[in-house]
Amino acid sequence: MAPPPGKLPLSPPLAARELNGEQLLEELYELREGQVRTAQLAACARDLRAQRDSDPARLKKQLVALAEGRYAPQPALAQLLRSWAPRVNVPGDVAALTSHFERLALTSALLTALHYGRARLPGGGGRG
Amino acid sequence: MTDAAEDVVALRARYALERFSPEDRARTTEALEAAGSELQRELLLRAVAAGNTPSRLIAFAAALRPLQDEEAMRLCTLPEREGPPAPLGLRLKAMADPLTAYEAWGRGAFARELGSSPREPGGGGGGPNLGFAVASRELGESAGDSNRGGGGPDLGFGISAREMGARELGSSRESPPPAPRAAPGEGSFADDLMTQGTSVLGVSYREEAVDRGGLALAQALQRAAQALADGLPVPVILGARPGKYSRHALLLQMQSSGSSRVFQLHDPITTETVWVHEKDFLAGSELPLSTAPLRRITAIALPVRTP
Repeated sequence: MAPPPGKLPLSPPLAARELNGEQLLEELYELREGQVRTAQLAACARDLRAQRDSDPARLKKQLVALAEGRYAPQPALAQLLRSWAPRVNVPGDVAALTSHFERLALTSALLTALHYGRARLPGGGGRG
Repeated sequence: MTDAAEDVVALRARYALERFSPEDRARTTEALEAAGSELQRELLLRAVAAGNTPSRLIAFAAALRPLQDEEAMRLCTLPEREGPPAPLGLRLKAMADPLTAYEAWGRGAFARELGSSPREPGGGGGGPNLGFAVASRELGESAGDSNRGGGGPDLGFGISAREMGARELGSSRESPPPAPRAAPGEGSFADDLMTQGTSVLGVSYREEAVDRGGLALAQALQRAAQALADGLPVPVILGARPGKYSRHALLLQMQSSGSSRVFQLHDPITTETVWVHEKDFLAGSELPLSTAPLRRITAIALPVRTP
């Protein structure tokens, strides 16, 4: 797994406070609406992890290549990859974006697990 | 299977899903999405296409999840038996419906646990269940299982949180029965499920009770902060006081300024996402969630990177 972004400067989209909060949930929501499965998201995160030592220009190309190639059958995921391509501009963005996609995949898997695990909590996990 | 046969199964499944209530459609779709493998998803899809009720489908999905593909395939094929072959009706039905075959192994107790009417293999359901007419009839018999609103757009097999009336990710209003697990420790409820989903990314989770004589809340928050800084979300359980395990939530991220830390907490049931200061967690202050009794982190699932 790629290390989290360090102290390198980031482009504004990747420095946003809600990048891994509200924005991540919004992206995840769109992916779920687009019928993208957690396993596909995890595969995508792994593909991007392999690019963690890339420079921004190379990662941009890879994002587009993945959108037009392997993930073309998942339009919502392809769209997300394409949308990030122009926003990767400085070296720090590479680790920040690969980490973001890993968080997306982990969060998706965890929310699914929490859903199934809910029934194990006393009272079914839905009470206050 | 040929493309044409795949299309027929998919069409029948879609036809069946369209007749579920939005809530049942959402949870059935979710079960499809959460299938443990492509084979399991295909088995479940065929069971949907065969017109099984939502509760039976959810229970079937839960029963399949712990199985390896080979075992799932074996259990979704009619068992061989001595003496005369199984009735033709049952054999035909089992060819079209993996759930029927599964039940023929005597593994249909989950349906009774859910209070639905278990079908007798080869009988009960009105003959071989091979087409739309039977699927419609069975759906018509399951009034207690589905409101069958039937409205709304065709959403295929995707989850529609909007349809569910809430932006609830990874959840539905009614959970399938939990899979059995071996002797979890106190405060440990779902770390096996978490790890099952995240191990592909080289991360495993272990839930621990907080403030029950072992891990203290301050330590838990310190370790959560480290994990979040490392890019790993941290599930927690909230409750009114130590030893009360009321609801799962997720720590999404943490921000620090000097010695001060704030955590972003997401409640997947209410879909609220709030920032909570570490001092408020430690003081047991009421959390800024709509569910007031959730004052504390009573258990935490700490992640570990695996090679």
